[in-house]
Amino acid sequence: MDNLESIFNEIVRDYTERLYWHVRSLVCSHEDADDLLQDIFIKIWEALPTFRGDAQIYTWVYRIATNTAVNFLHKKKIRSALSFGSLSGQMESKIDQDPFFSGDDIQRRLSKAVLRLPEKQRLVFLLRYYEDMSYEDMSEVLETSVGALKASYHFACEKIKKEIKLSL
Amino acid sequence: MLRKRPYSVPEGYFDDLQSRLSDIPHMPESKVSGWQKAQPYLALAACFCSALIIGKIILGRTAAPDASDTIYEQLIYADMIPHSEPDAIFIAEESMDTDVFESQEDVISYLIDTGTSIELINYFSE
Repeated sequence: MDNLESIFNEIVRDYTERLYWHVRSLVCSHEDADDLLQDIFIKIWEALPTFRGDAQIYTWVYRIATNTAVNFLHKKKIRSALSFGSLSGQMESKIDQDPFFSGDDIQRRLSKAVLRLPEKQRLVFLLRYYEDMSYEDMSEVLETSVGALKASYHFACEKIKKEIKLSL
Repeated sequence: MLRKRPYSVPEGYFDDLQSRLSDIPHMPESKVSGWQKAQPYLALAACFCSALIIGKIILGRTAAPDASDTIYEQLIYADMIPHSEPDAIFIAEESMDTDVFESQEDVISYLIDTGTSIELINYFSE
């Protein structure tokens, strides 16, 4: 148990900040990211005894974080559909109102263009562009083939370029 | 090198977050019993069954006998299939399956997932 706790504390030390930024890019809001981080680390603690050494701890924690954030967004999407709204529209207005958004105008346009991507392309873009994650690691996190990930990233970049050009 | 994200956090946030997260192993475990986990699914199943039963009772009382129930009516409908093109009915059924993709976006996602090369997808999307 002490051993598990020391491994857990090591994960907290090494991954808190990285996972926070990953989740924050996905959900946009600081409050949501803060709540989700708590859930993610509870899941990591609960799953730690069953963690098999054949996977890298890095991709394992990213998979838990990504799945938790994606589930959260799915629930939010259903809720916004029930109130006849659109989730990406809500999130775009969140970027405009966020007191912790510190980017310039072009970064704001980039963040909004990323929000308009289909879910899979958005995940691939965020992991590649901001995390600089290799396609092989990404393939473990998202359980998708490397070829499909490369194609998704290519199309995500094309769409973002087009969106930013249109918005200028 | 990691690219900088356009977000910031309150002062000292990560220190506070790390200390909160480090407390997780000492938190009391919330024991959720199997019965508690099954309750929402049972409630959903009960709602579905009641809707089925109520629907059946209402339909049983109000619906008129189906016009195609009699052999005579079935023969009339059979005549509507053209004798010259008996396969036309299958063509009509097949044509209903052409709208599986709602948008070009769906087609591109499908092509990506099936491992189609970027060049071919680009050719399609042009």
